[in-house]
Amino acid sequence: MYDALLNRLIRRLEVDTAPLSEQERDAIASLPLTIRDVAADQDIVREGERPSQCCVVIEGFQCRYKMLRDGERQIMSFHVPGDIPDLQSLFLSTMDHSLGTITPNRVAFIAHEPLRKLIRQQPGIAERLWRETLIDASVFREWITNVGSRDAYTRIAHVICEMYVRLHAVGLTNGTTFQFPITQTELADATGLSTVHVNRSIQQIRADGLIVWERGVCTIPDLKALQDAGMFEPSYLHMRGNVAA
Amino acid sequence: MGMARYFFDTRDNSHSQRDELGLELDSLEEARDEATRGLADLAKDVLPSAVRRELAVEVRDEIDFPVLRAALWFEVAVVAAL
Repeated sequence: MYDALLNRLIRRLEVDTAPLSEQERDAIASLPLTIRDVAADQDIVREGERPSQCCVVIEGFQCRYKMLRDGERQIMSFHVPGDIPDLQSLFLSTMDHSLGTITPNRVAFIAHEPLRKLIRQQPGIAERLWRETLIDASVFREWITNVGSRDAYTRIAHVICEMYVRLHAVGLTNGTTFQFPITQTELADATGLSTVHVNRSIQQIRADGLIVWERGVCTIPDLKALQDAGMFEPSYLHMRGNVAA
Repeated sequence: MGMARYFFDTRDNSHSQRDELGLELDSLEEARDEATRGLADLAKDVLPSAVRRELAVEVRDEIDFPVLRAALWFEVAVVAAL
């Protein structure tokens, strides 16, 4: 279990840059962790809270979101195993948004204090974590563009491409098949669309043969065709090598 | 709370798309809100390139009975040539 977590985290930290050194790996492996199982649709940390720990996703999907006064929810990002979705809380003490699970999760909590100590001792790791938050911001820029300027069909195709590429990067795809347990309502909240229009658009994307999506499992028969449909260009994810394999 | 499944078929001129997924909702009122928002989204996507368009969201209940229809008629024409 512990090794699986470590490998996931290390693989994630190596996605966009060179492999970690032996020393850096050992330093990460010696971090004290608390592993917890969290049910689906639970908050990990809420807007306004001042957390004293960060979480690493080991299994499951999470999202970051804001709730509006009228009960509307805007999902701003999806998170997959290996991600540290609330890394910013290490330096920004009050949460400006919430982080919650979509599916049942296994998460590892790392207390802020040992993590701060680690980055003081290992500048290489500090750099990688800094990159993580920069890529985070890059993904938000892409999502602003997605929600602001693309039609529903393109928007949804784009999100599906992104999920595939990110899951592929941490070894969680089987060919072009992957777990995609997102409901229509969650996808609507993430794309700024009504559930009815999301339903309609998904059925069109399916009818066009670009995805097969059943019971939370998605297959992309022709990745190039879906990328074209989604105006998806993976450079904003800043991964090494050929990510669209 | 009587949750019920409603299906939202969409119509764009003569082309109709049947909703196979449906949504679990509390009331017909909620179905109306969903239909209206769906119609507005559909309009935003298709009207910019349209000249004449009739759009509709037609709601069915679990036994395929039509319960609600939200429709929008759109037409654009140049009325004075310069």
